[in-house]
Formats: sequence, structure tokens, C-alpha cells
Amino acid sequence: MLPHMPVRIGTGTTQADPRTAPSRRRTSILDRSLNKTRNSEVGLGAFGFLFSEIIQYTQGRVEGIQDFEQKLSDLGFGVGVRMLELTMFREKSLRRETRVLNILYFIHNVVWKALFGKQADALEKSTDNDDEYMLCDNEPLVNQFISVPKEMAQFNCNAYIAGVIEGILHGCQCVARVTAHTIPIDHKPLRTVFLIKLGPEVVQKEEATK
Amino acid sequence: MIYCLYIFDRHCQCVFYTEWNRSPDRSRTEGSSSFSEPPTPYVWPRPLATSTTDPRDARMDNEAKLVYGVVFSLKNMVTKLCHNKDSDGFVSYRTSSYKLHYYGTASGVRFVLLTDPTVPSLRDVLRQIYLHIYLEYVVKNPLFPYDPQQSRPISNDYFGNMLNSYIKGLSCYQS
Amino acid sequence: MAKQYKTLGDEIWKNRVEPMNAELFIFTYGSLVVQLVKDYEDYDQVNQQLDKMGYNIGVRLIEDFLARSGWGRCTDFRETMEVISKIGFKMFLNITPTVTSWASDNKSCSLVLDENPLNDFVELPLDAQQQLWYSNILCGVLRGALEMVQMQVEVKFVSCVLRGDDISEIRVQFVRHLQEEVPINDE
Repeated sequence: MLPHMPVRIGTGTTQADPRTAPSRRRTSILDRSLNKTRNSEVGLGAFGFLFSEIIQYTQGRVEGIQDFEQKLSDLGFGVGVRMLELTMFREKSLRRETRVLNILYFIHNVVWKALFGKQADALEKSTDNDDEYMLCDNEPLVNQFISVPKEMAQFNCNAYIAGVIEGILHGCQCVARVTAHTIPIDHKPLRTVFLIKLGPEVVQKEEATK
Repeated sequence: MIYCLYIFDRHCQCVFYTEWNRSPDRSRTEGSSSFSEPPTPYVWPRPLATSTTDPRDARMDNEAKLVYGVVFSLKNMVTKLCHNKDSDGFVSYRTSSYKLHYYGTASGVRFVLLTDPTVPSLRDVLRQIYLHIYLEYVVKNPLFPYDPQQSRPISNDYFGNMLNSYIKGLSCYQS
Repeated sequence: MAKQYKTLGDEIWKNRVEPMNAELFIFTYGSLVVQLVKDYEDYDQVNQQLDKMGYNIGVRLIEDFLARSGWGRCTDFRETMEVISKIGFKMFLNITPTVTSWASDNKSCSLVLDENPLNDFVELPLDAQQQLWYSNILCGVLRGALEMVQMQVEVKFVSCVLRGDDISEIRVQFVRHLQEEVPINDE
């Protein structure tokens, strides 16, 4: 087995040893500013092509659409965990949100803005189930590159973003299952609803602190 | 008036053909009158999965080869005669009955559009098709196989639909 | 020559490219590498897989590049490398690597990446520092994209700051011009 993930952010300590050869101008991750990338941009095309290739790689290793979406969600999960770390660091609020609704607002506003440059379009509580919330995006970024063939009609590549949301929630000690569903409305054929189903322990905790 | 569009890939194969206002003997299927909703445009080559055939299919292979041959030779001739390396090269030619517009990319994709002879240059239209429709719906789409090593007909409904509405929105579409 | 491409690259970035937040891109790439490490359990194979995926991206990405930049001329290798650095890298990653260390025959050179967004937030575990070329996908992208405009090249990382090197350097070796295909005459 290989060691843990090679991508790490935050304040690891492995490279801080001052005894490493002083002649090397090497910048440790500790010397780099976490704010450097805050406003930095890449071409949308770069992301589009990368994401497309990830979709194809993943598709070749799954059986069925459910499995496909799960794998994409797993990939997104780690991204969510890291995005949360970074956003928390920047917001200077070391205190993590604990109330579910506050966390969801945080995702709806702050996270969405950081990821996509805009707020999400709606946040609603399900009227049928007490443990379900819905976050809507009328024009999701990742669908822009992807038209789904008829035989895969139920597939929504926002499963990846659903994974990102799940990762963020997880980082806030709010265990939930997030799935992406295409629910078009007039002139918004790609509108995606992220269905957030809270874990039973989260619901209990909410009840207890009411 | 716009007649038809051919797209050739880097292996000189026609990967997409569709037509709009071609003469009735070719494009109108029996039973459709000018009052009914126009049929979905004829598209060739068909995806391997579909079993339906059209009497036009048989002629298309030859026609596509012929068109490619003409464009290929003209392009070479124009390049040989013109020594300015910044020139666009071969752009169009015109006969008394039609005009052929050409746009080719450095990666070997070639677009050929046939119109009536009065239509002004549509090189920009072909560039728009490349940039906004071919690129977005054929090249960027991970769920439809795209492999430049081998020829594959474009069997992507989104592409066809976008192309169709774009062409129909042009002022020279039917005039 | 280089300056003129720099201006064009900046103009394209400003007016013809839709920008997006770099972090989603950076983390997405990170999650891909993590996944490949899990799937292959061998850094050499991960390097190869990254190169292969890069190739698949390159053969598509070239169309985006050509369509957006309007680039249509056949250029020589030296000029092509300038275009890649000043326009290609600018358009997609918003960086401009330095083209340097030309071989005397003008058939190979280096791209030095003073900045590389893929590397941001990344720290490699010690064993990976010996073997993994974290941004190897870039090599495949260059190879695939150039092949589509009839240039066969070999591309590889020769140093990378994530491995403790002073600079990140990609070496590009021109192999040959590929012949454009001609229609088969089956008369």
C-alpha cells in the first residue's frame, strides 16, 4: 500500500527542518501564502478538459450509472474537505459552524461564491422529509461541457459537486448523503438540485440543541 | 439559400453531412408537403446502431469523396500559387448554380458549406460553427467518444440540433 | 517575435477566455492524482497514466486553442514553442513558462515553469518525491496537441520543485513533421 494522499494543505510539519541544505532555494509549502490562489484564475477550458478526462477515466472503471456517480462523488469528497479548510482559514473564523442551517447557508453563499463565482440559486427545506434539504443551481458549471446521451438520461455529472458538498458537510461534523438530480425548469434545462439527506445522528443532535 | 454542410476529419473522411434546402428530388421524402412541419434534416453518416436506411445513403459516400477531392486539390493549388504565408488560402469558389465555402483548421478538420451563388462569404459562419458548436458539443463532450486516431461519424443529437438552429437563424438561410 | 505572442496571449486571455476560480481546478487535479495513486499503487504507472490522460486532453484541447486563438499557420518548431508558452499556457493555465536552453540544432528546448497552478497546495510524501512527476499530465497535453498539428515530439519533466529541485522544467524534443493524410484514390 502507498502512503496517504500526496496532496496536503494546511500546516503540516514535514518540511520545516532548518537543517535541510541551505543552498537550496526550495520553498516549502509553509512559506507559500495560502491566499496566493484566492483570486487567481485559470481558463474554464482547462477545467473542462480535465473534468472531461476524469469522467472518461472513471467511466471506464465502473459498472452502471449509480456506481459512476458514486465514484465521482468520492472524488469530489476530498475536494470538499480541502475547500473547507481553505475557506475556514481565510474567513478567519476558526470556530466551525455547527448548526445545520448555518452550515448550509455557508455553502450556499461562501462556498458557492468561492467555487463558481456566484451564490447558489436556492436553498429549501424539504416539505416531505424533515431530514432533507435542497440546494439548487440553475446553471451548474460542470454541465456546460457535458451533454448526456439518451441512454444515460439519469446521469448527472454534478455527482462530483455533490461529493464536494458532502466533503464540506463532513468537515463540519455534519454527516449527510448528497445526490445530484437534474430537474429542469423553463429556460433552465440544466438546473440541478442537490438533495442533502442528513444522517440520523445529525438530526438527533439538532433536536437536542433546539 | 443554404444547401448543405459537410465536415471532414483529419483522415479525409466525411464524419458529418446534413442538408437543408436541397432540390426537392433529393431532400423531400414522400408524403411531406410544404404545409407540414419540415422533417428532421437528413444526416449522414448514420451511427452504427441505427438500422434504418435512406435511398440517399447510397449516393452519399461517392458524393462526399468527390467533394473532398475537389476541396483538397483546390486548396493545394491555391497554396502553391500564392506565396504569402499569411494568406487564408482557399476560401470559396462559385459556379452559376452554387457556391462552395471552405474553412479548414491546422488540426485537419475541414468544413464545407454549399449555398446558392449569391451568398456572401460564410467563412465566419464556418468559424463560428467550429468554435461554438463543433468544439462545445463534439470535442469537449466526454460522454461521446472522440478519438482523433480514427474516423467516427458525429452521432450527437446536441450537435445536430444546435447546428440546425444556428443555420436556420442565418439571414441567408432561405432567402 | 516572442513579444508579439505575449501581447496576443494577453489579449486572448482578457477577451476570449472565460476564467474560473483556480482552486476548484487545482483541487480537482489533486483528487485525480490521489485516485490514480490508489488505483495503480505505483508511481511510475501513475506517471504513465497522467501522460496518457494528458495526451487524450491534448488532442481535444488543440481544437479549443486553434478555434479561440484563430491560429492557422504552420510554423517551425522554434516559433511553435513560443506560441505554446505565450498563448497556449496563458489561455488555459494563465501562466507563461520561459522557453530556454535551446539545443544547437534548434530541435529541443526547455519550458521552465516559474509558476504552476497544479502544484499549489501540494506537498509530496518522501517516497513520492523520488518517483512521482506530479504535473506529468502537462507532458501528455503537449504531445497530443502537437501531434494534431503534425508535429511529433517527446516531452518529459526533468526537474520539479515538488521533488526538491530548484526549478520545474519540461524538456521538449522535436522528432519530426508528420505528413498530412491525403485522400485515398479508390478509382
